[in-house]
Amino acid sequence: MDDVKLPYWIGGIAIALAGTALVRDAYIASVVNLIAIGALTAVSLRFVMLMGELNFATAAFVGIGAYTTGATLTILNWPFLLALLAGGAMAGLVSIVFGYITLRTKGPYFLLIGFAFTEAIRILYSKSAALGGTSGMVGIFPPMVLDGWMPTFIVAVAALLILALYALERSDFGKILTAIRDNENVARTVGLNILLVKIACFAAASVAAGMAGSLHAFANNVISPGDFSFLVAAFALAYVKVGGEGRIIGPLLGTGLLVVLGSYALGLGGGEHIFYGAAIVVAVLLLPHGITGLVGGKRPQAGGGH
Amino acid sequence: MLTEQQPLLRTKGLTRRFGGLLAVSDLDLEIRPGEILGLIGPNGAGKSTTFNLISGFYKPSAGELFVFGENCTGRSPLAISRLGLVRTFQHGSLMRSMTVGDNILLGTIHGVRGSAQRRARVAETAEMLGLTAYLAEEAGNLPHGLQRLVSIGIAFAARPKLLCLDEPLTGLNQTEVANTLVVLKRIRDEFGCSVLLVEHNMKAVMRVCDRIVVLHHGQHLATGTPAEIRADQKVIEAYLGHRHEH
Repeated sequence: MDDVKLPYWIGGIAIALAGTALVRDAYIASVVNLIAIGALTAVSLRFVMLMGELNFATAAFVGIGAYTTGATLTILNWPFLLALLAGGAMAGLVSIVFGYITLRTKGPYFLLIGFAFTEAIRILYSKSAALGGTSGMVGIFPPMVLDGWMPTFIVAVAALLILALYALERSDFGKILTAIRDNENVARTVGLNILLVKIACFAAASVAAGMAGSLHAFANNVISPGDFSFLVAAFALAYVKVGGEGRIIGPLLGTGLLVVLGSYALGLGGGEHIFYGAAIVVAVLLLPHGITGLVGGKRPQAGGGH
Repeated sequence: MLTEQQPLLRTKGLTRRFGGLLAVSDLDLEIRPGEILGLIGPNGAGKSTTFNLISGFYKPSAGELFVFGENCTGRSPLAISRLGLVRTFQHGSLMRSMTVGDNILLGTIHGVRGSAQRRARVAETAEMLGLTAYLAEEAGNLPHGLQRLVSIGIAFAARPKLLCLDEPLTGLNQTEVANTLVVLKRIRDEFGCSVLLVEHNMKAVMRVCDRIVVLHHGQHLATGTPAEIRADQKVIEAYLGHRHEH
């Protein structure tokens, strides 16, 4: 395993947590929650991008996490922590089955299947009376002790999961992911089970996405099918592209910037979606390597060489 | 002495059709322990198809494939590679955006447990190939000759029993060719790894191979030592064309 730069992570997480402790304003708290959950979703999307696939099913797994948490808490009366973890676990389980079937496809095919899956799952919630149909589920409350500490709790959980995905990325497992993106056939010739690695990558990302959904459910107390359309994945993609996908700090910066600007744009009277679309266009045209690409200098272009 | 042992790889009547085209037809091939076997033939002779058949990337239309004594007909590339047959590809058989060290590391992941042991294997492999100075370089930025060595490095890092190289000398200058041939001999002599070499560079093949198999129009044309192949009238005709053709 390569160095995971643990001191920087501990420092960064400590500062973020200290920052959340200062938040007393409900509106600011909601923005902090949005950033943490958005960042976790974006890091999940980027994790699958490491192996060269654009995973639009991310949105479905965020939804599966949120609905699992909502259902286990309000219908089955599971305790808070168990309901929270159930969201990630259910997303992970579903992703293993979904991945086993779909990860034999690549590129645009995989993207389209993920897109279709997201919409199909969303229709499933809308048609299910037990899950509240189109109006969704209500009353997904965290325990009283966390009252006022939700931003801190959400940032802590998100940070832990992001760090876990980063550690995976830096491990030898992460190198297999890059190898699959670069040249899948070569990876296949040295005894590596590529389908298994792809499913593992997809499942790890989906657990994180599911947990993002669980956190979303507790942050909003209310969920509805409309919260989990393909736009969740589109926003995550915007966060990754604007921040820069080369390094994990990219989606974190991108999420912070776009959520803050997006919340501001919302106050100007809607147009949020036009804003995100424009952000992607501007980022792709002017910052092909995102914000982090500006700081760290350009990566050498693929196909350079001699 | 070695020839008395069981062959590492044996094909019986191996055949592959693509629609109406018979790319490989009724091929019997044998690779013996400890040998460097050359597989040559004019363009379109079926060398690459043969390569894809024995590594499991193509399923044979007919015939059988035995790898290390096991019947591997129809098995996946993964199953065959795990038995110890590792191949390279003709073009870009490496990960361009990864460092040389990480490229070679990839070959060790399945077979070697433990981070330190993997790094030791990478160091040993790089040393063998003369790539130690380039371990931290991005593979895609290296000159062509070194990229070719990295490809061999990834495959050899898995310490295969049979290393199958698809035109590893293409585009190399004379020094690089000589250097690569030394590496191949060392891989065989020091690690007991047999080598199947598909190559267009006839001079190099004659120099390094113990035996040579010649394919022509998807069929077996001749087998023999370099000296025998050089003197074989059928082989000369296949490469130069019949005298009466014009």
